[in-house]
Amino acid sequence: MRKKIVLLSLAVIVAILINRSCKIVPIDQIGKTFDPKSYAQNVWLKLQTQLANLSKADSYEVLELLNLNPEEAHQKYAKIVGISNYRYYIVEGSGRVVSFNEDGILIQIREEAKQPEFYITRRVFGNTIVMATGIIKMEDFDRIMDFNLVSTALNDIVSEEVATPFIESMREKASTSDLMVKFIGLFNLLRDDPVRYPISVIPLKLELSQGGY
Amino acid sequence: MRKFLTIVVAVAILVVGFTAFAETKGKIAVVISTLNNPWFVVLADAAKLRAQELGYEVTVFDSQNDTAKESSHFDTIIAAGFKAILFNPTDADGSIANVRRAKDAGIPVFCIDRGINARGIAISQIYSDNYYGGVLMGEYFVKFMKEKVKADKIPYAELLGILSAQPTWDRSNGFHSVVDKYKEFTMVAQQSAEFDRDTGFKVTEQILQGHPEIKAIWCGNDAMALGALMAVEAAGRKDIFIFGFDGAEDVIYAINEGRLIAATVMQFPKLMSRLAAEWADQYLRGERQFPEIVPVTVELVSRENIDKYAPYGRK
Repeated sequence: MRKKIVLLSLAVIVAILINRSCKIVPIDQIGKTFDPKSYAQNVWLKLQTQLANLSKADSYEVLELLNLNPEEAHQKYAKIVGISNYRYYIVEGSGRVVSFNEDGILIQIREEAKQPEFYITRRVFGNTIVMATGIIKMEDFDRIMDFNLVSTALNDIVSEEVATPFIESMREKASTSDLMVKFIGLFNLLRDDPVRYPISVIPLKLELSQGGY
Repeated sequence: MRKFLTIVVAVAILVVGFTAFAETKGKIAVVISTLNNPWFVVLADAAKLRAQELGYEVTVFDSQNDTAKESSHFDTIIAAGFKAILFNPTDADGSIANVRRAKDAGIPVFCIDRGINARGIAISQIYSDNYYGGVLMGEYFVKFMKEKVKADKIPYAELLGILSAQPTWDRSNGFHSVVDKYKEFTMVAQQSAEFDRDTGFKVTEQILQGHPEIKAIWCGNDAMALGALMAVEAAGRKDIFIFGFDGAEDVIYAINEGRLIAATVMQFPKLMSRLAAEWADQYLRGERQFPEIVPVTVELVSRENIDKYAPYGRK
């Protein structure tokens, strides 16, 4: 009898230990944990198919108006998300390569400009891509953390698939002085800050071309 | 004559009192995660003031960072017939059940400053874009520290907030999404100081003993940054820079005075609270179209642009 009680007690203890050390997951939930990287990959594919249809401003016109009247430029070409002093721009155009380094390329959009106006960067941070394009929305996610993780993973994809290979390809050129870059890109500006050049632009599409303005 | 005047005054008091009572639109509850931090006091006061201006009787509840206390407040609020709740959640997951209970009782909830990890139960969640704040700070941190410390290795420490609070991780993740991409930076210590000034002081003292080589301390809020500042100054160190988050009064003054706090991220508590109170009023008057998620701007404040800012907002 005593042996049975001891065995029974041991069995109960083992059962408790197993219960505490294991997490029971329904079989249909296995493999369904949220994966921001693969989610972001799908978002990127979707964004690429929608690039042509995105509402984009001409970079030359944006820069002209930013020089003349920034507030009007914000109203005409930029987007606001939530309650914010940031203005999000999607621009396209082309510019002459002024110089490049491992992190980005300086380009000049307007021939008469006194300085390079855009810096096409491979350092892609923040929510600029998702805010400017609206390709994903916070409401789509139960947890804001997941939204941010997808946004971060999307930044990495854009950096690795668009910006970095393009900058690497510049190294192979004997000279960059006659090169033009066609681009679709994004940036944000603080509404009442003076515009500081070069504006850092996140590229969504980059193409190299010869020739001038 | 005196008797007549007394009666007139008494009637006048009664009329004024009755009018004031009659004009009250009902009761609104302001539930705040903690009032043991000046930033949250500003958040609560702004919500209370705006709701009072709109004609409501307002009661502020302090959850003391305890979901059990918060739950008990919701019991009281539901039983006492409050009309709306302006809610600063203690825990993004742990507070969901409270919002659901309020919704089931027909009481609209407007989240302020922090959100909950659920959709379709709060009318609106108006909160600081903490992740972007972390990104802004990360970008400034890299630029500032590379200019100050021209070395291949820049060791730094991080003070995290309350580990169960969503802003703790949104801010930290945003910061690391930038800083971790730069090989010069090495985080040698990361510890929670629970968004608290005294704990920030104690934790920084320990970190300084274990890692005297650090050049910077990134803190997930300004209360911890002030604690870190006190510890760094007490140790006589002038080569460690501190970075905060909130835009609290003492930190804005510290940046202005050129002390060792290099920058903070400005949140706008008054803006969020006022908006939540106004939307609650509109909801109670029949409006039903509100965005469920409303990110509110955050801005980097440093020595370069301090002139634009005052404590808890812009000048």
